[in-house]
Amino acid sequence: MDFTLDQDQQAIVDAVTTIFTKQAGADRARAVGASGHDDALLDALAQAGFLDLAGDSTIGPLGAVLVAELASRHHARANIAVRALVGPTLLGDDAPQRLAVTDASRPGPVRFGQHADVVLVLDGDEAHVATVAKATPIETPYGCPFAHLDTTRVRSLGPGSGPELAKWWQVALAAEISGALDGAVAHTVEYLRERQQFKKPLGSLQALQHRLAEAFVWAEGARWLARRAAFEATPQAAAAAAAYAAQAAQLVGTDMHQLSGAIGFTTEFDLQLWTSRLHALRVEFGGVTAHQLATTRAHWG
Amino acid sequence: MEFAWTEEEVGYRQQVRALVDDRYPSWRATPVHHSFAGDERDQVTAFTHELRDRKLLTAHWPAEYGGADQSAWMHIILGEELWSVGEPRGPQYMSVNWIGPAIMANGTEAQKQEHLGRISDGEAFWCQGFSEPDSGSDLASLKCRAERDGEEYVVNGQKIWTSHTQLAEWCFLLVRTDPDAEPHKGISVLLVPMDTPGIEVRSIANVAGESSFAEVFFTDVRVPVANRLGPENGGWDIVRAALTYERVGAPRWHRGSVVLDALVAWAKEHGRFDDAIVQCRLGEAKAAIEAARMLAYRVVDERAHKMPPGPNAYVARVSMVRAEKQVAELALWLMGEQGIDGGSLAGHTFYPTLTAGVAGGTYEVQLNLVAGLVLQLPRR
Repeated sequence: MDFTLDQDQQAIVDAVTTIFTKQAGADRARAVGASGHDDALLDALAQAGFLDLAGDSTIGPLGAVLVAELASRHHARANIAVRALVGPTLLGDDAPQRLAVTDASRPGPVRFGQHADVVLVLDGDEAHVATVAKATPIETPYGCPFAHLDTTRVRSLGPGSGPELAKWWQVALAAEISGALDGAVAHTVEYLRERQQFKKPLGSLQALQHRLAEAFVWAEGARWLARRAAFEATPQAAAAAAAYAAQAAQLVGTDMHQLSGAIGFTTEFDLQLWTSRLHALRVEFGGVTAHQLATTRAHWG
Repeated sequence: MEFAWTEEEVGYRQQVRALVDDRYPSWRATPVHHSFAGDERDQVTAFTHELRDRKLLTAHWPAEYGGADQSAWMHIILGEELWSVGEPRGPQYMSVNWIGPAIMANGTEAQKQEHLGRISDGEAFWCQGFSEPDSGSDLASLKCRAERDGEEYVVNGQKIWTSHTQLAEWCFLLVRTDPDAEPHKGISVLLVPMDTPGIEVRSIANVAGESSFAEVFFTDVRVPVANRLGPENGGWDIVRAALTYERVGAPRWHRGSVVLDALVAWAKEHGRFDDAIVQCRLGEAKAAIEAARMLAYRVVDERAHKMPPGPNAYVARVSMVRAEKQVAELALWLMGEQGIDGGSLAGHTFYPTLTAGVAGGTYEVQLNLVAGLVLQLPRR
């Protein structure tokens, strides 16, 4: 048990932070647009090998989870968490750069579906590799591109690959949510430290301090559960991480707006860049209910 | 960063668990709080002596104080395995958790000689004299006076909400030694034998299953100056460090986890487990428990790395209280009328958990500390 980053993990954090500082962030996210896709950023990460860490035996999914967290924290407009965690673990070296995931039993639109070269389809006990025959993008305020897809299945990954896909999809969701929680809470803390009302900073009011502290504890719990899930790679840890993260996303995603007041609803204020995605991520996979059910079934059968 | 247990840690856990299951075979299935209120001294020491004889009781302490120089992780494994099934160490968990470490860090040689050996021998029974009728969350405002009279202090005042007084032989007592200084700069720690003349204990009836809750009155109680722990008026720093240990000292997350296992067994037995709402709530509680576990482990990890006590303990405590209350609420909700029975699993969970957000500093005080020390929000 060791909660401090080792040398490799610290190097990953430093290097991807450098990439995201230059090639991601709020301004870049606005320029790419909520329905757009940042191919250049994905290329940069791929060339540096940061999309394939999960398959590297010395680094593994724990390194990939750090990339996923930071991508989300920095508003990256690409399906990085899914690519970094689901790609190498399910498809190995064959993972395409632009990957999306969907569940055959759920007819909703697919996140980053219109920008995917390959879609992994969860169908009960099996995961299928599919290509996109037709993508119909939708208009949405939820901070990511979504499209309804007609897919063509290419091959099955075999019996038992379904639960494997579900597990890594949940870890990816938990990591991506955790990065956005971190961003949303830190941004709100910063704003309430500065914003003066009643001749004092709003952040000095105990009623608001307690809500920020509670939100922070949610974000911290989500972060460490996602990291442990990547390390343990068990359905139990993955489901619990996703269940906690999805619940945190609902609470933090709404409460930070409440605390930020009217400015929080404006597009110029960065908060919505995190919260809009939080609400999209928390309903994916069937949302908090599906994750909670999965948690119970994984732990107690 | 990695989250695996070492072979040594796994072995240590197995040894502790095997001992509990051997001596108290029914405790795991019905994890109740054993408060050890009165005459169980022999029962407690029989168990702590067995831990001592197997070198399990203070494995994480330095060898010179009766330990085995092992990591802080052993301490939390011991706590998880014992607290979760009802704490067969009784009040001695506290001696190992923070009273011993406080004496190690601040005591004189004579104090270390007197107390640490007894704690690592499984012989020491302590209570903590912190709260007062007018000083609860605002602990630094405490008024219990200790006035110097030659080589003695004369203590007058009252403590309240003191657990374990019936078994306690010593009190870790906070007193005011400088009434003119700022509140937190005039406090000292005295180590006081409970049989000193002038100490009167009155137990307090309560609904929380803490049958050893008491008021303690001090009337002209004479305590040698040699019994002061640390410098005069330097008690606040000692108690803050001690309380940081105590925030994660009782592994409430692990008890929550054991209670959830027992609730699942109950739900299966009573045909309730297939209910999707039941499964959702179990999953929600399990996720909360595991989050609390990770945040508490982060604090243990800081200790294992010999870092000074920091504010992450408050973050962990918030998460622990939230998770434990969620499990307790789930227990009563799931068992319904059958949970009203005080001897049921819900009966043993719901009321005792009411204290979780109060004892050792309220939930709201933890939130204040997170807001101030971690988030650096402006002072109120």
